[in-house]
Amino acid sequence: MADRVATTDRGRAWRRVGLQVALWAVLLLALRLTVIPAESRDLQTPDEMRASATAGREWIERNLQPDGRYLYVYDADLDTIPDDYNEVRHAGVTMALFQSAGRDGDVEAILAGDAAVEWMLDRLHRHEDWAALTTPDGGRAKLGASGLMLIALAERRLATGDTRHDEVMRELGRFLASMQRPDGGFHVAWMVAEGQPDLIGTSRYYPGEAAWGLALLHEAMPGEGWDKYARAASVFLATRRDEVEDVRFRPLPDHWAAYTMAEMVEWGLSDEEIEYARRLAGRFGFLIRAESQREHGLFGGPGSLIRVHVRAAAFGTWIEAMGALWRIAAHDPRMADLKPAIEERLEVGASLLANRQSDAAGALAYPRPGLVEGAWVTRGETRMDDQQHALSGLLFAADALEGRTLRSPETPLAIPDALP
Amino acid sequence: MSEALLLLAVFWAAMNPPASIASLPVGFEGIERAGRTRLLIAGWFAAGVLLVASAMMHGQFLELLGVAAPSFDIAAGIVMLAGAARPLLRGRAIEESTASLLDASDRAAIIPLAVPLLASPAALAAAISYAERVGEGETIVAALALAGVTALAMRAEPLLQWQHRQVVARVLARLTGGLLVFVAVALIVDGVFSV
Repeated sequence: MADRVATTDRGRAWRRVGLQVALWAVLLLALRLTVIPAESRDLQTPDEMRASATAGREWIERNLQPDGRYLYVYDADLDTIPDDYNEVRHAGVTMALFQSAGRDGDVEAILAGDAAVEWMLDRLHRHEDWAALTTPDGGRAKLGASGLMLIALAERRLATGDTRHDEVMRELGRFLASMQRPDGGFHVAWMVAEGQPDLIGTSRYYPGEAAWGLALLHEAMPGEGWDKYARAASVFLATRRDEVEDVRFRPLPDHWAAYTMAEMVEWGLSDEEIEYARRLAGRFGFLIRAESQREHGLFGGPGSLIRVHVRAAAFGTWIEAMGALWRIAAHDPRMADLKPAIEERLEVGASLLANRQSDAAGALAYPRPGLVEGAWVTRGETRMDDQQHALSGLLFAADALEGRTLRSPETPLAIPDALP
Repeated sequence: MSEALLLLAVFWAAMNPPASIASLPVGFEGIERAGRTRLLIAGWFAAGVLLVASAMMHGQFLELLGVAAPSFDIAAGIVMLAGAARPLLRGRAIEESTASLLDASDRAAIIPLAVPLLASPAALAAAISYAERVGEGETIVAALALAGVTALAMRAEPLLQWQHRQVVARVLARLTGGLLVFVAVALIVDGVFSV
């Protein structure tokens, strides 16, 4: 009788063990499907990444309008081109075009970029000693538009060595400097009719664009004092911006700030700036990891918990940021320990980005293949800044993976004579 | 905190020796001393094999999963949180029914002594995570040392009478469970903010 009771208890105990093993198995399976699905690791070489960037650049060139604007957005599912435009993104796409031209030596890219520059020059608002790029209706001059126009012109200067726009660059720099607040941040825009800055609105990303523009201006024209404004802006980004903008999950993933500090790393960064750069690397690293795990998880993996779908205009900025942070890690020993991890994230992320690009064969499935080939189409739509950010990200990722720390092209293109 | 101390704290929390003591069935003290020693050595050895394998093969394991180390850290933290639930809520490492399998048989050295008492899911997850973060050698030494301490604690002659000892062990088990929650949350946070 006692033996039978003991056997029954033992059987019950083993069933409990089995149940617990099953519960652990369910937990581990759930983790595998939601938290740690496998990353997409169809890795590409730097040359393949550059080829992808070139295809993106060709989309921009191919779809340049006669008036110097780009094709803003194409709804590939509906085969429609919505009537919309944004001068900030126009300046950003022009920047990417010149970055690419500087590496490929493509005169067509320079010519396309120059047409886009003309469009911006026609929309400058001048006041006192400065100039600022206005909205298409001419009512406002956003800080970010002028910041990115300055960056585009600086990239053109790096690519060609051509100094024809130096005075405009200075005018834009003076606008950015005049908009800088005492705390290093910036007013968001100039209101043309009122003749004064917008003192109410704010922008999370415009300060980074302005800071990078000022840093590049100092690089192009050292000794003119632009570094003072760039430094104040960088300190603001590193120490105060997230609080001013009430960013909940800090640091704000701001690739413009990463570009700024990468530009300034040779000047020497403070401990605060390096600490901020390290936190930025962690933030972008998490975003890239989550995105690269999206395709193998349940309900889209962990990325779907953060955002439903990531378009190249966002994904590309993460790769751009990592490329910039890689340059800091390659130069400053306080970031050196992060370099291998940054390279790993860059390789996985840039490969995934390149793999998501529409190729010629895939584009044939759409009514207008020329508007799709070389583009990044998300939810049936592609916008010009999808190509911009993917293009810049892939270029800098390829540089990083080849260990190329030089920021600018090896030598300025010998093409100014070819330019009008 | 030095890496050695950190590892000892992590594996102390993951193995939770007080919770293991609190889980011992009444009959365990009835096993003759030599038999108990043999059982505990065999259990320590079996758990050690698993922990050493986990630490040494962390790279291959992450490669097999196809994930980056910080992503695995987040999952490891969640496993640790799950592992902390019973010590926190009940002051013991395993259920009474599972503990009743801890007898003088050879099988008891594997289940439940090696797994899940010594090589608990939390300890195995810690071995993989910390081998990647700190290094294999240090992680293996800390894991084996804490498994040894836990086994020795179960072998030691009771300082207190059985019932009093269980009460003290359960209080310490809950505190150690709290430590495991702290370690787990730190691991998750670090996983989220790492490159």
